[in-house]
Amino acid sequence: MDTREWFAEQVKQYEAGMYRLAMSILYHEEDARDAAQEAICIAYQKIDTLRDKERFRPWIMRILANECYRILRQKKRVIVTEEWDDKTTGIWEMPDQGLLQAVRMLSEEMRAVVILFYYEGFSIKEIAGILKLSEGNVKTRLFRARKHLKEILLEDE
Amino acid sequence: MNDRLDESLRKMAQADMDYVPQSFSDRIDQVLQELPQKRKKVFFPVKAAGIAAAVIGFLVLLPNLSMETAYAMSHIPVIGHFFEAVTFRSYEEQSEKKDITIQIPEIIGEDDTEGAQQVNAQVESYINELMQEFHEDMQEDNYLDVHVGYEVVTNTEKWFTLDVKAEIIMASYSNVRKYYHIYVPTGQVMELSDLFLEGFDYRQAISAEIKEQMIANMEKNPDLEYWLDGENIDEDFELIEENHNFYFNEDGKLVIPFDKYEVGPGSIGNQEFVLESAIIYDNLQYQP
Repeated sequence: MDTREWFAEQVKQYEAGMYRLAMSILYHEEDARDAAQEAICIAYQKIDTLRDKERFRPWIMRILANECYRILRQKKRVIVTEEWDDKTTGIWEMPDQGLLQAVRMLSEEMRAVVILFYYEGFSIKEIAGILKLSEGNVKTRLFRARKHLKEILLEDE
Repeated sequence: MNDRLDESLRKMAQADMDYVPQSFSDRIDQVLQELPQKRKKVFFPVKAAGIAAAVIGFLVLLPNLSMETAYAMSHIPVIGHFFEAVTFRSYEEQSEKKDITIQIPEIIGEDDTEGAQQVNAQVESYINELMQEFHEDMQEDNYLDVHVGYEVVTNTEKWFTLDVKAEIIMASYSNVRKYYHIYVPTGQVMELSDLFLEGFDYRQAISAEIKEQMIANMEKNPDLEYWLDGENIDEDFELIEENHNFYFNEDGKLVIPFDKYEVGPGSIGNQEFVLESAIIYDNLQYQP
């Protein structure tokens, strides 16, 4: 299997995770597609720098997160900060069941941490690396997110 | 208590673990399908280019052009004391979906032509390699613009530098540059690693200045972003290559160019840094 085939296989394997992460940060379907496209291009260009091929998943997730934050920063500069509300400006289509429904109601800073922890199964340390946060910050966000999720889910019952 | 909550949240996550909208999945498939074969310099994302048969034709056509034709087509655009560049071979093809122009340069020297011959051989093999790789990426019936050309960026008493440019326009635009140098007083071919006094860590010194300039540029322009965070990011810019591209500009300053995706996201395109640090110039073995 050549590099290109191997790379494509890896990306397809983690496609659902890439979608969730991009949406958790961007809350916008079209932006998520653009971020994923750019992240794939960057990752392919830089694939030789990935020393441990076993670490492909956290590596591409970090590149994707970088790309999402770049798009987000650009959007926030265009839309006045006080008016910024991704839930009213964005679109996140999803099925009517599962945890995603509740995650969607969280703020952006909690969403990405929740996705990476509960869906992708990354450790606190790995999440810190992907989102470029301190481990303490990840724990704080996760703590807050648990509290909110519990409230949202109890309300639903 | 957290453990129990975590466990039930993970269970809930299982319900939509595989959910991906078709539109997202389709885009991923499209991008993956259009990735070129891995090469030293990647053009992408390749919106699957051109017509394979046409490129095979053009690969055959190029070497068949006679010397007379080549020189008849050539212009002599360069004023120089010792060296000049002419178009040795060229190829053009225009159609509804294609716009291809290829110019292969040749350097001609008045006196010692050994360096010129070496560069000519290198340029020809580089362009052939580009074309070969490009051909491998071709898929049928898509739009394609390819322009391979050249420019003499430095032509002084001391330096003759030829910039071979490959512009590929498919899904996005990419512009790959490669610079060739002849040190005019000796007629020798030069690379970045030849420029400095022995023992001087030029890669470190140049990279340090580039990083400083990147930080300053980002402060000035919030839309600009380089990969420079240094937080476990494999793709961050650390050190220039041993024989990284360079040229001397008209002010005699050393310029370090980067192709798209080398130091930042695609949106910043190609980048160039004009070096100012005295220590770099103090350690130059061959002056501009």
